[in-house]
Amino acid sequence: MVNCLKNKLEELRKKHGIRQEELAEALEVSRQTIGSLENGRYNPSIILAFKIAHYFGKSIEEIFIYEEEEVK
Amino acid sequence: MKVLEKKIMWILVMMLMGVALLVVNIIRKGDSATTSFALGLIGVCILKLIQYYRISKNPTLLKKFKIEQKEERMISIAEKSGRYTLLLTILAEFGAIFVLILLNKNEIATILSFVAGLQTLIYLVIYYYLSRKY
Repeated sequence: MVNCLKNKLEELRKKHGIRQEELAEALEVSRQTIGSLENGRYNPSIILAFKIAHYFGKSIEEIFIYEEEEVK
Repeated sequence: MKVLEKKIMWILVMMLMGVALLVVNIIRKGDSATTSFALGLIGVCILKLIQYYRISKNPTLLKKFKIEQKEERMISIAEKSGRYTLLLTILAEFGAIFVLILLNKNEIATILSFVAGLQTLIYLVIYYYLSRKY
């Protein structure tokens, strides 16, 4: 079983018309971190996940999707 | 303590160690390799101090620096980097011990074995401490 965390960060950010730099500044992280989150290379801590959810006025589950995949 | 001040303090400690090594090596008329190492250490520390001075005088760089030092991804990368460095260092030490024994340099091999053992022991003690703490 492989645990996987997907997110809708890029989709939401583009929908709100904000750049990675602006989001990074608001969340007090680097632009590279936003890029890594969007590409799924990095999973945020629960605190950063809450910060992102608060920023977009959504719940964590609306942005982050937890999936379990069977490994054959 | 502020992030930048903490960093500067660590650099000053490292620089002091470099100066101490240089002074001891000159007094005891040690080899040039140790002198080069000490001078290299002092040089790197001076460059880091110049870099931190520039950062402290530029509000944009200071803000970026503070974010980079505190943010979780950077901390996670630094922790991973430290873990891999320790692992590779210990492996390299054991490899070197093996080669030194084959070359009949038993005295150096013993010292290196002691260093590798001590590193492993420190790792285990810190691991045990942190596993009890968190």
